[in-house]
Amino acid sequence: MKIIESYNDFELTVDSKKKLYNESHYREHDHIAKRLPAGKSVWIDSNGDATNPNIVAFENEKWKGIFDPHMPIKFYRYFNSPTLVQAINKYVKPTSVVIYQSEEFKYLTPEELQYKIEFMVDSYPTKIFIYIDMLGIDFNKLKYSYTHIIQSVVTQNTIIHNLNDFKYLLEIN
Amino acid sequence: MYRLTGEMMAKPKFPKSLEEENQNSCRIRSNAFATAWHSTQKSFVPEEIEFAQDQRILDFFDDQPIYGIGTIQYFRGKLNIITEDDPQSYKQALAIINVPTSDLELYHGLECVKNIDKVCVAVNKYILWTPSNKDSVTEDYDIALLEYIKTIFPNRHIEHFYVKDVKGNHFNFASPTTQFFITNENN
Repeated sequence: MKIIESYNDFELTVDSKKKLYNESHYREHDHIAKRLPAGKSVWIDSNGDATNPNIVAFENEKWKGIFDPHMPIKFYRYFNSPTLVQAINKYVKPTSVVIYQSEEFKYLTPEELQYKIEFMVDSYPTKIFIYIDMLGIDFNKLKYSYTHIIQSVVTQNTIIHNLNDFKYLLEIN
Repeated sequence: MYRLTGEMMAKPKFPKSLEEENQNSCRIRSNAFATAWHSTQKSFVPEEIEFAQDQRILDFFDDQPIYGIGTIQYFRGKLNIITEDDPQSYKQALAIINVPTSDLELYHGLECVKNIDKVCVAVNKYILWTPSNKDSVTEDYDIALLEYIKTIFPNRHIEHFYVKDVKGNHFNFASPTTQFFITNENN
């Protein structure tokens, strides 16, 4: 019997990666779709529907092998890369950028979460939607309430939609 | 300025379909999704494996009946788990908290096992919540959890396991990596 401590102890197969990705990226996002402005919408690490001509899906390149190669999905290496930001703003010219169930916004401390939200605001002069599951945010949950944390990390011009079950949708700009 | 919509911090409504039946009166809920996720993640490895945190639980208990509460389904068949009858008649108890649970729910949920000789409490520290800030709680979350468990199990020997800065890499949502192994001082 082998004892496993973490994902570092074995290699994931393509099938396992598919299961892992699908478990963490549901396509139940009516609460975002109904709020999208007209125009192109960029979905980053968010299982964006690449069959929709108005959605441009960017996925982390670590998932590259699990997607249909015929789908018009673009891949990125670093979320914080100026190259990625420039490519999106210059060539896609989106009216909105969406983060939905993204690994980029999981297991973050409040400070890291605040930094990433500010990075999004500074990088994309568009409507921004960020879905946050507070159960996946890393802080002292005996000491601080979720309300306190979510209010402490948002920037100006943000509407916080409470989706219940500790999930929030930030609508920025 | 930010604006807030919807009701803030309503008591969590966990979908009924994801709740598993608990046969006892202890108020720690179970989570079928976590049980399924446990199996799914184990299936990623082609050979027979055990998660390190599960192996610690298996090593801790003996063959005597174990009063089980919470998300304990994985250990049925591996341990002599019982979920019915009066908990006070048992010498061993296993409590696995892997459903959104408030600090007070945790406290009251563990009341029924606090006098049992050998207890393992495993907590997914991501799914706890408190309705308001508590100034008196220690800043370090891992230590704060230990202190909280000590208030429920005073004057007991507690062995504390946790992964510092646990993120998504250690199967914590399948089987909590924060564990307290509680015995009497002279055990």
